[in-house]
Amino acid sequence: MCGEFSECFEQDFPRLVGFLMRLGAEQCTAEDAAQTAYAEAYTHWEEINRPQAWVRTVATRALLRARKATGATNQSVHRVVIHAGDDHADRIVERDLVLAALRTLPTRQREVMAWTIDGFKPEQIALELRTTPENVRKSLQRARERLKGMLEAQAERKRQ
Amino acid sequence: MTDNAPGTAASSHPMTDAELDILLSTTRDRLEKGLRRTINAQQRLSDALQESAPVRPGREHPRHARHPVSTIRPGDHAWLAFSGEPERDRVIGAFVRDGLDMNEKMVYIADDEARQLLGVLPRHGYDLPALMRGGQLSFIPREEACMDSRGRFDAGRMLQTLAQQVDEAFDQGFRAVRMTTDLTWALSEPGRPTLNQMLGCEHRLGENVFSTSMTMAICQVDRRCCSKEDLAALGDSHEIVVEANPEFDDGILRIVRTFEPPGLRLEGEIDVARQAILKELLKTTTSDDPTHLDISRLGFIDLGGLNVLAQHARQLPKHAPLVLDNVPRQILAVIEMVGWQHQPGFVLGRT
Repeated sequence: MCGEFSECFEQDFPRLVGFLMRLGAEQCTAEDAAQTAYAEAYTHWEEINRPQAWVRTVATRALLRARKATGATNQSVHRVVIHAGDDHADRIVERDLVLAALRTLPTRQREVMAWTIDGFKPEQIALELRTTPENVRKSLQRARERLKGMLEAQAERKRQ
Repeated sequence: MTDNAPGTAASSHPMTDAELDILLSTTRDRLEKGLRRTINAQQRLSDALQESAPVRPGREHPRHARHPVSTIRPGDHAWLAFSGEPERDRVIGAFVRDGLDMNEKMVYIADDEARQLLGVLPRHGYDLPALMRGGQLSFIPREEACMDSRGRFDAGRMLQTLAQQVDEAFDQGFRAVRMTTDLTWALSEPGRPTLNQMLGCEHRLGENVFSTSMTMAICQVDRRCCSKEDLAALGDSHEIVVEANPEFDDGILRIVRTFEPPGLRLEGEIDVARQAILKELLKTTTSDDPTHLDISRLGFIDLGGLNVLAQHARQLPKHAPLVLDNVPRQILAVIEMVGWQHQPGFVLGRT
């Protein structure tokens, strides 16, 4: 069990942290929430059917708890600002840009987006978020439209 | 300049779905790559395991703090899952002797005719026949106490017997009643009551007998005969878990003998004034098997204290080293700084 657990941990942990950052967490908060989720997962590893989905759900909750405890609000960003640079810096900026764009989305859309980016299908997401696949698809559609709009404008600005 | 880089969606036409997908997936991969570099996964893994430690299956429920047997008070319904006769005799012996010393009634449900009290030896100087004649000590064979006509465990009868004993004791003028019985037989022999029956009985005992009277009891079970789940369930139906009285306790340092694995548990702080007692108690541990020191609740140990451990470890035979279990991080740092983990006879055990 330990072997399987640590393997899964090694594979998935950074990915899970990325997932939480796409939900709007800072890296340190995301790491803590991910650790909490895995600690909890370890105690009943045998009973968990879909570990990756399981830790994502639990980590999301841990994140919300942490936010509540620290009084930090949902850090939404209303306008995405980007300073075009080049090469490596450019990529980092681009990465941050996508994260920032995701943060402007309403919570549900952001969640659906984060799950989708991690490769989950709408049916699976609906199961985990306790909603219907139709709702997931709708949120996903809206989120994509908004993201496209934002990132497009960004790219446009960068080109000039 | 970056127009051709994958994922850079710079174009005059509106962004397509494919472009968005590429942008999202490349930024995801880059983020993950960066995170793999910056996250100390090993550290996080060990932290996660540590965080989950208190509720790891198979361990006792965290809310059951262990109480030394001498701290049992009337109304307590306690639980002892022993791992061997020495442990049982030590705990039950202390329980029985405390009761006899304090002029409390002792009800002992036993399975044999021998009428021996566990852990009460001739050297303790009790006149057992006289105590029985005087009614302070009462032996009840378990057939009489809690078996039905077919030799099965009968919860109702058990309750009845105990309630009757309690009433009698107060009529006789005792201020409190102590009871103990070994329930292992009921869980392991044929005709085993279902666990639920046992739990029901324990629960009703807790409600009816203990909550309202000056009664205290220890239910014993041999943990070698029970599954982990049964132990956990039974443990849950008792308020407290008892263990042997500490070998030493001065408010700063407490040393408790442990039986599974054999060794000592150190709690509190070890400073120069407490090295002598530590040295002495280390000498009482067996050198046939590895000696385990559980120091999870040790807040402080100075170099002199570590030296005592090291000196003890040095003269141990190779097959029976000194194993330090659950070493707190700050103490581990000291040990590693001094390099003692490499010393012969010293092993860092489970964490």
